[in-house]
Amino acid sequence: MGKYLLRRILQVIPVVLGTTLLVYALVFALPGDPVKAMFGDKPVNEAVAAQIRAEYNLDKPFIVQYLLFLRNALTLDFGNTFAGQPVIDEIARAFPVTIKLALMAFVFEAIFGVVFGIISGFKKGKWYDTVILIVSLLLISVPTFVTGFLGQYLLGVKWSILPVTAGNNPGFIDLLLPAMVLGSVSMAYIIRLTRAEISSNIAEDYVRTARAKGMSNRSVMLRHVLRNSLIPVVTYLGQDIAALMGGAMISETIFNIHGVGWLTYQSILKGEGNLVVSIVTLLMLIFVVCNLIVDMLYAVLDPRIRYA
Amino acid sequence: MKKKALAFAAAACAAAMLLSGCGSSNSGDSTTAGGSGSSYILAYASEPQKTFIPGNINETGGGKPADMMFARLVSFDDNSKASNEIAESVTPNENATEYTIKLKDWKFSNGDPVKAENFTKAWSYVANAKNAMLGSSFFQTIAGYDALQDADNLKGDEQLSGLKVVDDKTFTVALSAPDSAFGLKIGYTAFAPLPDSFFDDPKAFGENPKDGCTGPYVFESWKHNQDIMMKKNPDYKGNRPAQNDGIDFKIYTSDTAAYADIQAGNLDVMESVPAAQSKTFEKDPKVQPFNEAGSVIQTFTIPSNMEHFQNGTEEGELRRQAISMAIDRKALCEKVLSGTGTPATDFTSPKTPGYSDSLPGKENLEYNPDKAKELWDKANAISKFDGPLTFSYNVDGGAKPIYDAVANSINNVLGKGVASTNPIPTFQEFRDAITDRKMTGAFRTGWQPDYPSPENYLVQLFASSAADGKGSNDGDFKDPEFDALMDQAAATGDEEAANKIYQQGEEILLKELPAIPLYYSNANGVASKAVKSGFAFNWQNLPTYEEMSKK
Amino acid sequence: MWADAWRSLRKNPLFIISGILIIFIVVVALFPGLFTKQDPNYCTLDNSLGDPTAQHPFGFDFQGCDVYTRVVYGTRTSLMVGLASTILVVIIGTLIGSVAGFFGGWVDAVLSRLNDIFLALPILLGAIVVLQMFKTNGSIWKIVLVIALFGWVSTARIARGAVMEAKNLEFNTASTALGSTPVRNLFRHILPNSMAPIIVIGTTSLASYIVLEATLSFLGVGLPSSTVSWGGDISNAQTSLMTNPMVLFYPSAALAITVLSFIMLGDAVKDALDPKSRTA
Repeated sequence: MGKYLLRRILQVIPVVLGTTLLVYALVFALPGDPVKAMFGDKPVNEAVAAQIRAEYNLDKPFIVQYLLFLRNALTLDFGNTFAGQPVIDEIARAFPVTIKLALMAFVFEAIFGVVFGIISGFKKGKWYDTVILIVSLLLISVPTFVTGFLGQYLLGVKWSILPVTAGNNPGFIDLLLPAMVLGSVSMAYIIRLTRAEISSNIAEDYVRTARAKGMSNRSVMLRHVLRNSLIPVVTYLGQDIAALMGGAMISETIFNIHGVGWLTYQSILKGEGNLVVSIVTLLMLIFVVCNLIVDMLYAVLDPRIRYA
Repeated sequence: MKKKALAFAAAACAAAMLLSGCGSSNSGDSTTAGGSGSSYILAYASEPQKTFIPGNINETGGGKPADMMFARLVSFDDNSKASNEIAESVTPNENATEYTIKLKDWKFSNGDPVKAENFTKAWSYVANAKNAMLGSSFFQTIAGYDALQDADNLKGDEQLSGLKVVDDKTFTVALSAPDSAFGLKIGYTAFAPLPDSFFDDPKAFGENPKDGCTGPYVFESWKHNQDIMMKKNPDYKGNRPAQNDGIDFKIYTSDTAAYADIQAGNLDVMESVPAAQSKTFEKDPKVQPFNEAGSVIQTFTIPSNMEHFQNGTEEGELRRQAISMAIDRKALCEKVLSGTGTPATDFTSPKTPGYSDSLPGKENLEYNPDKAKELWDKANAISKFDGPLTFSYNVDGGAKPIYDAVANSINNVLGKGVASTNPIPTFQEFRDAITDRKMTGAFRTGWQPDYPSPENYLVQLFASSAADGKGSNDGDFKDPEFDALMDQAAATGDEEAANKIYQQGEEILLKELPAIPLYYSNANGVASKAVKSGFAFNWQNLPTYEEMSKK
Repeated sequence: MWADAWRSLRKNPLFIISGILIIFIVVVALFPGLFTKQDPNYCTLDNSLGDPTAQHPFGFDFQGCDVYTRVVYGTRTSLMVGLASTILVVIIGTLIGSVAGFFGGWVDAVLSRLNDIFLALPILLGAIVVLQMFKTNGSIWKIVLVIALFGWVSTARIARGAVMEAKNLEFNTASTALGSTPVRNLFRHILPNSMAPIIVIGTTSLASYIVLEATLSFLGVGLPSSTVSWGGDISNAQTSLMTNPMVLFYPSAALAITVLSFIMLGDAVKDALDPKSRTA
């Protein structure tokens, strides 16, 4: 196991290099010139533009830009944004709130997704199975901006139950609604997944064997069916925490949260190469850790899966 | 400059009672941080794209706070009328090539007097390409500007040779060509004076300009992506005294979030209305609305040399007029903009001095399907055009519904397939295609004035001197007759007389249509119920922050 | 095995209902002209947000287009984008995921790390760059390509997990003992036994992809606005949400019914392939 872990950690190095190179290339390939865009609708003063390009190494060939970025990154200097702010400060401002938001959305979708999925799966075909199906279908078919907007209007503006926007340094209550909006689509997926897994495992031979051996229904369900049903669910959840952090753009925009999704979107629009690369690399590292945890959980959930 | 964009009640209801207190906490924390209580105005803002160096600010995120921290020689009232601010007098010579400027006794917020040198050094700093200031081009009419553009051979402290300090309170400005609008130009933010301490460390000043404020407010703090705070300047004695204790510019991710906060009373004022609310905001009982014709004009430009649309050819003129008359501007303003726009009748704006809504040729901007079809068929008889004419716009600016409607209107009048839209994902890509002249069809253009003068709309956008990348004439329109009128107006000292000449220039534009005016963006926005007085909009389509009061 | 599955399918009411619905939707997609005589792209602001009339049963949208006609004509684009993306994603994802899960070791390491990289890439960034290569091409396949390029990742993770689990089940050990080759095992035994979660994710994703098309078009990297699609109309309806929610309702309902049909079909197929759950 120790050796396996070490190998996984070493694998991070080529992944980081690959990600940074790929993202840097993509930002470089973005059509348009960020320096020209700074002048807005005004004429571009080429002498001034050349000074700005030189400051951000934008006048150099792609590969030189990339290597310079890498070299500086090794000393934890990730460069500045076009607004003159250190990239590291932007990241330090955006990540904490998004981590909080993503974790809340994660807990929300995991708990409600699995619980509703279990109810649905054990009672397949009952009326509440149908209700749960329809609700989850709605959540998938209605775009997030609509759920977010309606949630904000009804719960926030109209009934004043929850804060309208999250604002600065948001707490648990401030993030409750954004987190539910963010987690709602994934919750629908988890309900569907859990339901499918439970209903297929419930018919497995070992369930009958266990029942025949006189185990109570309850403990059969908990010890065998549930445990065996969770692998795809855990897989989905593991990769979703990443998607929640990177994909919170709509939720963050509606609820005024200056988080990672919003920052990524803005920096892509503005062609902020250093910022995009740094954010994506950090996200990628978080995914690597999540995936490692998921792989460890496989072994716990199904002892036959071993890593050498 | 750019306007930007059900849940599970059951689970939340239980907590409802705890929340009413917490919910308002995010509006309270920053005001108390300022220590001045609730008479700070909480205003909608976005994160500035550059730091607070007046000559480097090119968008509203930094522009709104900067406008109120840095006073200039002249200021403009809500009706675009100029009056002296720091200037005691601004006197041009008879052909408007040299200006003599005398100053009043003003102080920076650190107590230093505002001297002539604070202007000349600040202007030279911004003009000097070595310092990489975005506003550099504003100084290009001042003598000596060209010498400051060879950045490789400059140190950054070279001065504009056209600026001469006479004494502490007087300086002269020599221009490279006559410019009767210069006396208004100096009201733009880039022309603000800077204190001596700025030149020691411009970077630090940009982050924290509290020593160099001369306007109605003094900088207090800037928490990135959160808020920018400024307090009333007790020593200010200009034309725009503050009626409140300060302004807290709160930085938002979107206008929809801000609107919801205004409804909930967490924010006091914003200068736009989200698209989803534009039909309802004037009747919304939770807010105070404002909606009047404003100074921003929205147009689209068809490149002057585009095949079938060339300016100066009969076919081109017919097609341009046909396209223009095929657009139902009234329906566009009523239905798509829900009344937050006013159909355009000229190339400036109703807030611009010298504006007229009855210039000869304005019928080319009126919906006339029969005439449009007739002109289009005439053009097709000269040379067949199979279309489509594409309309490019940047998606991140929210122009989609407008251009969908424009294309539909043209297709309904001139025939299916004449117009189509070409959305471009980012402003960056959009501007790049324009500045590199890669646009193969019409593209969105618009203008928010830097100073209230027809010169700012006409010369900057349509004169030959601004074509080919030297200015904002992005369609490269060139017409010697128009240029001559602009030069004549620039050399005319009397404003009324000059404006008459500008109107003659507009008549040429209305016939040739280098760009096709659509509508004037209204000055529109909402304020919270807490604002008791002073909520209006100025000549820049921005709220009159300094006049607002919650008492 | 397939014959058994078919026999049980035929008797499943879920299958019959969903089958009829899907046939209907496909007919609408193929022959929209049978259901409306109007032009979906004829829009005039005079009709903006107009109320339903006899000829226009769903009323008019913001731009004054007939909502019913647009729902009918949007079927083809949305169905094609949704189905093509789903099929492509399921094939690519299942292949990569099952190979990684089945062989383990360095194969797994390489494929899984590739997975990590793609998971981290912001889809907007990739979409802008990829789609500008096909700038002039207004076809829906570029959208399908982008969706597949970014969509395979989660299917691959699910497939990998399911295959790792199924690999250890008795029948695999048994058939290996009987001399079956590993690759044959993977396709004959392990994959069919791992299909349940993949089918669930696939059918559920169908909806997400149709909505994703709308998001991409909304961000300016999708289809031209002359191409009618449910997703496009859903995002256009955003501005009318407060005043005329019905404009949003109709295309959303069409989308939901389509997705429901495919989810039911998926459930029926899954049950048919899994004889045990059939008896339960």
